[in-house]
Amino acid sequence: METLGTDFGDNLDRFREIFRADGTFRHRVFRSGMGVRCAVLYLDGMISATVVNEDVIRPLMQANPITEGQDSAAYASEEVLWAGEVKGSNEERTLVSAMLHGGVVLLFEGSVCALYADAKGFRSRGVQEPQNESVLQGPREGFGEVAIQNLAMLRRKLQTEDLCMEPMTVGRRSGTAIYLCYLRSLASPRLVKEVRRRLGTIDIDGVLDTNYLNELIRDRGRSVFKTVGTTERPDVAAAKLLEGRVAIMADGTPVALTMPYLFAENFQSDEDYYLNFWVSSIGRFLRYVCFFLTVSVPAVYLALLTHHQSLLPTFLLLSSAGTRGGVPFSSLAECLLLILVLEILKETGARMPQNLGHTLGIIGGLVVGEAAVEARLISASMLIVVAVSGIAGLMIPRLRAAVFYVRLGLVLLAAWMGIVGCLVGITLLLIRMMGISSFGVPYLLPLETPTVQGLKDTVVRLPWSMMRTRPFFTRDRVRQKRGNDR
Amino acid sequence: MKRLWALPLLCLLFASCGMNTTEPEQLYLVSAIGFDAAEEGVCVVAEVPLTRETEADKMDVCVFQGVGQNIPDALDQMKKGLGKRLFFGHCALAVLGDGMEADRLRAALDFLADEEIPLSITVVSAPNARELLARGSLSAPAAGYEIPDILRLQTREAGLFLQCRYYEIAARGSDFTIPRFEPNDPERAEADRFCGLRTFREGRAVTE
Repeated sequence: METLGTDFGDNLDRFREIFRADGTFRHRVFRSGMGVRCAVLYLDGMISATVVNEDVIRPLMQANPITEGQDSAAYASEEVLWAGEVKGSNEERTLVSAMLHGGVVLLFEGSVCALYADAKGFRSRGVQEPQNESVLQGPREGFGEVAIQNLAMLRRKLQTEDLCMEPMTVGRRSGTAIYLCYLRSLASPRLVKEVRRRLGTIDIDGVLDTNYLNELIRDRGRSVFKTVGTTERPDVAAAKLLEGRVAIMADGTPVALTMPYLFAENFQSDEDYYLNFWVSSIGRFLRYVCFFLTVSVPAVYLALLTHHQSLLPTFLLLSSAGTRGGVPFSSLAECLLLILVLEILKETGARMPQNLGHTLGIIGGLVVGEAAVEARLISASMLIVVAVSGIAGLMIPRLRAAVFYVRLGLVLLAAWMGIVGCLVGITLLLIRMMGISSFGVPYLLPLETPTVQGLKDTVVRLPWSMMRTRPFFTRDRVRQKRGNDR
Repeated sequence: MKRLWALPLLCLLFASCGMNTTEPEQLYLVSAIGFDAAEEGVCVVAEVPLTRETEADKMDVCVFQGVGQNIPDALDQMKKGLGKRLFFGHCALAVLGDGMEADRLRAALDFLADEEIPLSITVVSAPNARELLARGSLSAPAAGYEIPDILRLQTREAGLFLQCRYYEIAARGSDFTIPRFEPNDPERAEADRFCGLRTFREGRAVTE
């Protein structure tokens, strides 16, 4: 590792050489009040000009002369500089890294040690409500792109020294700062150790979003089911930490990862805990029903229509036969086509500006749908079935990928084997899901071994007075102390 | 890779099922079936509601007929002229014409036990099954005919409890009593007439 020399000019030239192709590199050489020459080095746009001018350059200009034999860097660090955090180093790599992370580097004539001070001052987006996790009632602030600000928001929610935020760096070229957050007394040491280990194994050139980490550290990396949670809300991240989970925040992205992440969490909405539990329970229950509907309705309808016509009510069968008359596609092709069109509409709607998205929904859903039925390209009954399935799927956005692939798989199996195919598909799915775990925690818990306390926050949301324990993987399971516990 | 052994098993499972799909528009949905005695043996009549492509809620009725030495022959005869498969899964009414006795009656009842035909099918008798079914007074195509409605009305208003489902008849063995209907004049907009009961004993009609 390169270290600084004693020659001030050489040291400065080395930095110039390192940043020769960087148009944002700035440096200023001046004679300080200490009687020695100083150089201030920083990257424009990464630092606060006020901090550099007022807390670094001005004090150096106004400093008293040093006595002979006194080290200028040590003197400046201890008695001159006003900046909050000042450290010394003679390692080139440390100093460069400090500059890249919004620091200002100070070189002193006659000193082999340079100083670097934190002067971050880059512009960032203000605190806004996350569009993907908006709520009717409850906190509306969301994380931003600056990790330090995000950590502060989390700290405001959990004002305890128990909150740990371990800094790490990932990405050979991006040097992304990430923070491993957990509550020391609640998170299982084994879980924290495992997360730390997996993060340590990452060797990638750049991490621009937490999804990079998500895919690199999650269990069953190719599964369609999420085993790492994501949130842009500090209140949700805090709630996860209070359940003994671990969160990872990365600089440059508002999305925090939480783990372990269980299947039941896909059905939990941020708002569930801010509304009356009766209201929340309705929504929670409906989400489970909708998951079942969205993956199975097209498959079951297709199976009944093409394999088990006896099981359909007579009027429905006559009506389906009537509406299908003249349609050029088979029921399977029709179903697959509609699922594809639905996904195209959803994808297009999600990428459009909000107002255009509404228009697209009307044009795509109503006008094109109606025209396609009129033109006998598709049958009205299949359109209704796939639309119901699509609408039900909107209730559980976190399972979007899983819903799409499971629905598709079940439709193909249903076309092949009818209801037996659906049952085979669901059985294979359950077997598959039972084999998934998230950081050592079975994915289907507590649904696979249901207990009253285990189910208190799954199919329904019980009142807080009844949610007395935390999930089983938590170090300290007692959430609230009442009565004899006091 | 370790789980590759499961692949042949799955293929075997899928292959055993095959892609045996039938679209609903490829089926003739038989709503009522009738059996008459004929010189050649048996005459089988099937009543089929026809859905229109443009107006799914309006249905016409079509009656197909086949004659053969026995019921399978008659059905084969009937199927020859059809472009679609006859589907009996929603058949709601079976009419036994006069003359369907002894072996013919047994064969008709055995046919009704076919797995595709619902065991809850209503069985009635008529002087001539074809005449009754061809009358075209279909008021409720899904129910197969208006006869089941008339029977429900009799049960409710006249207090007459009729056991005429196939599974009820089958449970009684060879002795059973079923309602008897006669077709009304087609020019009069009236339902077919319920005209009493017919009792079969040892495969022969003993009362009317």
